[in-house]
Amino acid sequence: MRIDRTFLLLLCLAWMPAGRAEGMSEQEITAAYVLNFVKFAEWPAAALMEEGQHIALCVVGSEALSEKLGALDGRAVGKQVLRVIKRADADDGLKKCQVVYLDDSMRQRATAVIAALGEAPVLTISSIEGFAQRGGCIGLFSQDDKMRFEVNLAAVRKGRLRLPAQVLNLAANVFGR
Amino acid sequence: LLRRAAAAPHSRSTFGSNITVQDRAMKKNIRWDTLVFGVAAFAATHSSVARGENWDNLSLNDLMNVTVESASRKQQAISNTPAAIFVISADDIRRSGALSLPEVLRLAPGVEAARISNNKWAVSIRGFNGRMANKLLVMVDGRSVYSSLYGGVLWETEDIPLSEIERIEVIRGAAGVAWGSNAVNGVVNIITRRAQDTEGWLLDGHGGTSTGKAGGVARYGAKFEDGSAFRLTVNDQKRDGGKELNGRNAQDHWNDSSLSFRYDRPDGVDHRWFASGRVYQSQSGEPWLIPTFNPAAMYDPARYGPSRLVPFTLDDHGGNLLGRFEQVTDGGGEVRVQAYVDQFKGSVPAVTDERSTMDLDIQHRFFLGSSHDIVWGGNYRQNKHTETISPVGFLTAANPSVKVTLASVFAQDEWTLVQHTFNIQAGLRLENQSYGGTVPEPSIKAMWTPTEQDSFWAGWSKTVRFPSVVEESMGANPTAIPPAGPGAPPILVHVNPGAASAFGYEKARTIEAGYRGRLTPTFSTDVVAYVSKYDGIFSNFPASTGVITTSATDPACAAGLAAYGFAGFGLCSNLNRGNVYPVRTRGVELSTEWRPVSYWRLQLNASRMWLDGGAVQQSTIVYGSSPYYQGSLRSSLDISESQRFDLWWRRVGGLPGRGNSAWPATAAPIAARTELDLRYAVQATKSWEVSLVAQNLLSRQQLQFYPDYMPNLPVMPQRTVYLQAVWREK
Repeated sequence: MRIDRTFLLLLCLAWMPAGRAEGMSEQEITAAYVLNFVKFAEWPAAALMEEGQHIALCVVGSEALSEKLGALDGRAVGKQVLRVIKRADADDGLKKCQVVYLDDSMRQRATAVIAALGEAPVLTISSIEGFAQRGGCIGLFSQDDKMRFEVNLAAVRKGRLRLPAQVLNLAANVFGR
Repeated sequence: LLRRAAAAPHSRSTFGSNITVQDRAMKKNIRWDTLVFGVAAFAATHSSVARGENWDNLSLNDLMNVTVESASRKQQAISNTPAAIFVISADDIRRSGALSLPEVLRLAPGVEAARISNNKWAVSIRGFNGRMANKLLVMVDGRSVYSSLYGGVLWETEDIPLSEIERIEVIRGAAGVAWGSNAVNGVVNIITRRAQDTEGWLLDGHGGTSTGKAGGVARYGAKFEDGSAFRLTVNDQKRDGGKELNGRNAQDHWNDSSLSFRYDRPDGVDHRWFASGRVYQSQSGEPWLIPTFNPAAMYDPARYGPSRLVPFTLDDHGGNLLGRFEQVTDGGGEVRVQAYVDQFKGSVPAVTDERSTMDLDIQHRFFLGSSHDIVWGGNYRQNKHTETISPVGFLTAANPSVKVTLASVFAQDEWTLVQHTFNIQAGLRLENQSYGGTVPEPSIKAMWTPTEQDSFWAGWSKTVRFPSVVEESMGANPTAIPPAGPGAPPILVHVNPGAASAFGYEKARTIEAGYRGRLTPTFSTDVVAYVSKYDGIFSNFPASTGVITTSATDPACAAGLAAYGFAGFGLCSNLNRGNVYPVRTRGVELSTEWRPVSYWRLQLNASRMWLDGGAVQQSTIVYGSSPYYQGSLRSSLDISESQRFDLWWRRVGGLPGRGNSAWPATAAPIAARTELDLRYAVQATKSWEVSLVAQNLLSRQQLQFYPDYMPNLPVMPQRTVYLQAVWREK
C-alpha cells in the first residue's frame, strides 16, 4: 500500500503541464515531404507525355497515408496535375506511376518492387530502413524527433530523373554521387 | 479496459485532412481515457496543441525543423512478424537513464534482468535465469556474444556505449531457424547506428554514486563525398561496489574502457558494406567464497558456512572485427555475406581462458512467384579455447585446450496465401556442433492480419541448446562439510564433468500464440501465451555408482580435500552432471502502450510464468532462479519542448533462498522487490543536454540474486544517483 501511494503521488507530480512544442504526425510530415519531392523532381519529357500531363503518385501499402495524400489529388504541380492512386497494388505495373511511395509494411518486398521497375522513370520514396541504400531513390528516416531524408543519386539517374541541387543540399546523405 | 477501448466510437477513426475534426476526436479520446485512469484530470485542459500551418504548405526547409509527434514506425515494422518481438528504440534507451545493457533490456516485456553484483548480471527470458543463462542468444550487429566456454553472456565485456545503439530487437520464444542453436527462449539483437547517423562530435559525461560513479564517451564521426561515413568512439566507465549481506563494502567495483569504430560505405545503385571493430578492457571485482576446512581462514561461518573470502579482480580484454556486404540481386532478392573474428582473454579466480573465434555467415533471400519469400543460407563458426587452471581448488579441468565448431544450413519460406491477410512461415535449420552432433531445428508459424490494426499469430518450433566447454570438461568441488565431531571425517562434495555421464544437448518444443493490435490511434497492445517442453535440461544428479568415495581409495578425493586444507581421512560425495531432467514452462506476457496526449506516453508490461519440473525442482540449476511474475510501468512525459521527465516503476517477484554454492543451507529467500527510477532532462541549448537520474529510489540496498555458477559472495546493489551532461555538435 505504501508503495502504491508513493507511486501515485509521483505520477501526479510527474504531471507538470507547461508550454508545448508544436509537432506533426508522422503521416503529415511524410506526406509533406512527398509533395515537396514531387514539386522538385524532373522527369524525362517522354515519361510525362504518355500520361497526358499528369503526375501519377501511387501509394502502396498504407491506408493512412493513402487518405492523407489522397487530399492532394487534382492539385496543380508546376504545369502538371497530380493524380493520387490510393492503395496501389505492387503486382500490377507500377511503371505507369511517376512517383511510388512504399509503406513500411512493404519492407520485405521493397527490393522486388524496385527491381521490377527496372529503368522506368519512377521516383521511389519510402521510410523503409535502408531504402536508399538498397536501390530506392529517396529514403526517409527519423533522427532525434525529426524526419530526415537521403538520396540515392545512382538510382535517380537510372530512371533518367533529376533532383535539383537545392534538394540534394538538404539531404542528410547522398549516395552514388 | 481493452474491451472498452475497442468499443470506443472513434477507435477506427481515419486521418481526415481537416485538422479541426481530428483535434476534436483527440479531445474526446483524452476525456474517456482520463476517466479510466483517474489521475490525469489536467489532461483535457492541456490537450489542444496549437497547430501551425497546414502540412501541405510546408517547404523542405520547414520540414527539417518539424518535430515528429509520435514514432509509430517501429510498431508498424514489426506488425507482420509472427513472433513475440519488442523493439527498444534509441530514444527509449536514452530516456531510460540506464547505464548498462542489461538495465536497458528491462524495457522489454518478459526480460528477467537481475543484478548479481555491480558488475555481474543474470539476464534471461522465460525462465532459467542465472549468470550464465544459456537459453538466450545475444547478438551485436550479427556477432554472437554467446560464450562457447560458459554457455551464456559475459555482460561485463559487452559494455558498448549506449548512445551508439540504433535499436534493440528483443524476440521472446524459440527462434532456432533464423538464429540457430541457443536461441531457445529468446534472442536479443543489438543493432548499432550507421556511421552516417553519427556525424560530428559527441561528448557524454556523468558522475554520481554507486554504479553511476563516473563515465565518459567521446565520439567523432565524419561523412565523405562518396556517401560513406566513419566514426571513432572512446568509452570509459567506473562503477563502485555494492554492500555485502553483513553491511560491509563489497569488492565488486568495475572499470572498463573501449575503443571502437565503424565505417559504412554504399556502393553503386544497390550494394553496400560496412566494417566495425572494437578493442576493450574490463576490470571487475569478483570476491569468491571458496570452501575451506581451516577454521582460522573462514570469513563469516554463521552466514556463509566453512568458506574463505578470496578477493579477485577479473581482467578481461579482447577485440573483434566484423565486415558485412549486402547486395540486391537482379530479381529483387538480396545477398548478405558477413564475417568476423573475435579474440578474448579473461580470467576468473581459478581459470584463465584464451579464445579466438572466426565466423562466416551467408544469406540469400529471393522471391518465387508472387507468394513465396524464401531465405536460405549457412553459417560456420570456430572457437579455439586454451584454458589455464590455477591452484585455487574450486574447479578441476580435463581438457586444457579445445576447439568447438558450429556449422549450419537453413531455409525458410514465407508463403502468402491471402495477400496482406494470411501467410505461413515454415523453415528448418540443420546444425552441427562438436559436442552435440547434428540436430534439426524446424519451425512452422502462421499469421492472420484481418485489418491493418490487428494481427494474430501462432507457431510451433523445436530448438536446441548445445553444450558448453565448461559443461563438457570441467568439474568442481563446490561444498566442504567440516567434521561433525571429534574423530568424524569431513565430507567434500565433488561434481564430475558432463563428459563423464549422460551428456548431449537440451531440446525444447515451444507452442506460442499472440495478438497484436492498435485498438485506437493512441493505444496498442501485444499479448502472448506460450508452453515450452524441455528435454534433457543440464543439471547435477547423484552418481549411480561410487556415490561416496574416500580419500584412501580415490586420489581425486584426496587432492580435493588437500586443496581445502585437510590432509587426513575424508569422504567425498560425488555428483554427476548431465542432460537429465524434463521441465515444462507456461506463461503469458503483456505489453501495452498508451499515448493519451502527444507529449505523454505510458507503457505497461507484465509477465507471469509457471514451471512444472517434478524432480527437477530439487535442482538449484533449474529452479529458484526466475521470478514467477514481473511488471513495469513507464511514463515518458515531455514537460516542454526542452524538458523531459521519465518515471519507471518495476515490480519483480521473489526468489527462494538458494545461498552461495559453498553453503546453500543458510540463505533466506529474496523478497519481491519494487523499484523506481526517475529521470529529468533539460535540453539547455541545441547542443547541451543535462539530466539527473535516480535509480532504485525505493530501497537503499537490496539483494536481487544469489550468485550461481561461480561461488561469488552475494552483493546488494545500492541506490544510484547521477548527473549527466551530453554535448552534441550540430
